[in-house]
Amino acid sequence: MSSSTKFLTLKTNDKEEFVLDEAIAIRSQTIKNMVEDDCVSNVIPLPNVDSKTMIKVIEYWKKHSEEGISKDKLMDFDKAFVKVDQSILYALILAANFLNDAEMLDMICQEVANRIKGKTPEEIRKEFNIENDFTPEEEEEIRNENVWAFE
Amino acid sequence: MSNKEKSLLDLPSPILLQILSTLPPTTLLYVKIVSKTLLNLILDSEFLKLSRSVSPATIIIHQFNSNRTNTLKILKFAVDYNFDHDSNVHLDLQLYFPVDLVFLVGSVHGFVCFNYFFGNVDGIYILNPTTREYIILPEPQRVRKWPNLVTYGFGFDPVRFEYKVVRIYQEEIRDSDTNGFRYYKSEAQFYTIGKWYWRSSVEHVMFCFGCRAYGVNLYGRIHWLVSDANGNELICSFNLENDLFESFPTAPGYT
Repeated sequence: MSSSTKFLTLKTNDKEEFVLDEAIAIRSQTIKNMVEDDCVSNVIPLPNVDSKTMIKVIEYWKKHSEEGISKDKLMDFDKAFVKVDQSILYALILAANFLNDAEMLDMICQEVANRIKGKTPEEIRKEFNIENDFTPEEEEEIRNENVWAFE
Repeated sequence: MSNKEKSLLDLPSPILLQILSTLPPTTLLYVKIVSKTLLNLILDSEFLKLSRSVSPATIIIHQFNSNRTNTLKILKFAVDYNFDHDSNVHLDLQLYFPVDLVFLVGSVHGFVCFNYFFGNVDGIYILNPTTREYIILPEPQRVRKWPNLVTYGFGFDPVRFEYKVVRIYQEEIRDSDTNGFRYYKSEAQFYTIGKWYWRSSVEHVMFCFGCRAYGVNLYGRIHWLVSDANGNELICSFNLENDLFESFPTAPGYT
């Protein structure tokens, strides 16, 4: 047992400060490395994360650090956690990537993959705001090559 | 706040690769058409390394018998190593093939390949059981006619992301000098799905592939148990990437 709980202050790019138990914050490999290398002053700057996203990340970290929480409860939590707009999901992915939390990153990537499944190319473009950069000839050709799978 | 809406493609490519690598091949066929950027990511060599064997392990059973049942059953391995037996995906093949002479050649990523032959007709069907749709391949050259033999294989080239049907045409050669000693000169005819024509292998092998066993698809090659002109057994494979035959002996002690 550690003699006392250590707290870290995380500062997002919009200058918000979050005070967090170190044991929870080191779910982030990035923060863990900083702590271990002892290069932590009072405040850890997170230049790639905004406060809105950080609130979600901390919510996830706290839930996943709860003692004795059942697998089923965590699965329910995760399910509800990713029920957000596409733009928030992207922000969470970038945050999880920067903070180097592989578990969270995998979980959110899986959600994006689930949203792709079962959609037609047109629906995927619309849902994920992807521009069709094929020329009409190129699209015709690639469709003809793959049309057997759908028709 | 920027008023330009975020796109999936704004994410760094290692993350996009991670997302794409969890998608089943059937979904990827759609994703390829969405945009050039996504198509190039799927063709990227990094993607292949990530995407190996993500589709669920499945067993496909073809049931047919004299009282005219002709059903395709699909069993998926569930996480707890039980079978996920979904009777909704049973397919009554009678709807597709009114005759019984239909054989399961193989399946890749859930696409199922059937061979149907009757008289001079020698057809190949590729069925997508999920959408219940199928294609019929154009007839290859060289009619299946005894004593010449035909067998098939259905496989996947993981390098070019292409599905191929291979037809082995075995021409019987009778040597009049040696008292009717016979052997087979075999060539591969192969068809890349989406390309709409058959091509022939540049080389021949002097192996008998038989006509009962269909090829086994593994690591970009289709394998058959064959016998050479002297009746020795060996394994012959057809490489789907370079369209060449390779052969190697069976395990020692195997007879």
